Amino acid sequence: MQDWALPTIHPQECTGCGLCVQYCPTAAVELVDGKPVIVRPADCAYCGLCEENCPTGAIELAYEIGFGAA
Amino acid sequence: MTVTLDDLRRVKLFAGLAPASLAALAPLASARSYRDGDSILLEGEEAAGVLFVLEGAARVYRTSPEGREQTLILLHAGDALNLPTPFAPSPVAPASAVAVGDSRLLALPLAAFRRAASEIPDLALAVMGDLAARLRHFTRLTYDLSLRSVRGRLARFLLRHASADAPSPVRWTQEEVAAQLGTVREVVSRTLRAFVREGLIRLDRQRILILDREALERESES
Repeated sequence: MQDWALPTIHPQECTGCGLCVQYCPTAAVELVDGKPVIVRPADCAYCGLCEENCPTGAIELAYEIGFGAA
Repeated sequence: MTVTLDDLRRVKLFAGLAPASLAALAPLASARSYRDGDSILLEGEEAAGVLFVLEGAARVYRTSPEGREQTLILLHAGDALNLPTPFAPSPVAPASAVAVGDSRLLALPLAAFRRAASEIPDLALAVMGDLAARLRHFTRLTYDLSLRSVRGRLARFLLRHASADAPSPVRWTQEEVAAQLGTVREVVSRTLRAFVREGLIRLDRQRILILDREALERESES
């Protein structure tokens, strides 16, 4: 298990609209040359707001499924 | 790519075959490697052979005119991908398939496979067993998609993929889960949030953790 998993960005599907930057609550993502880059990976909370607000599905968060304690 | 007897033995259908039968099939078989996401088979195209997953996995799916995908089945090492094709009236693929993770597939010409099945009773019985299992899978899928709620389908999906004996630890995006469940990502996201609110699961960074297995099992029957 990698504790530093980050959202996957698909540049070819990205229109560079910047909504992910606007919605990121920790400012972990910025547009670099018109495309989003997670410039502060340690700040990414993996909250999924970038994925939820991306109009083209260019950002994805992947999850493993397991059992855990409450 | 050369196919060895060990490659053939990895195919579940061939597990019980005598070495002489395997040796007869080996020169007819070919193998090909695919990268994650590579297309293996396209809906509407003719399949040149019957395909088997040797390494990695393959996802079989259909796409609607609007671009929505429905995953039909996820196949793992040893599974046959298009077993009905050599026996079907037409070799046209009824669905598409892509590689999940870097994968290697074995192919046998349709006529050679049909001939082998007609000459080797154990192989013919194994083919029937595989087709029966597939029929059962699609009966269950039809029930799930037409009669089970999205909450029920998602609960069932989480329980199935959280079990320790799952074939391989896979990381799922909500888009992929939606394609499995016959819905869209927004609905999966909303339903996951509802499960979190109800204390059934917890999102722990890149993990979905099941907290209340019994409640989720009850939910999976809905």
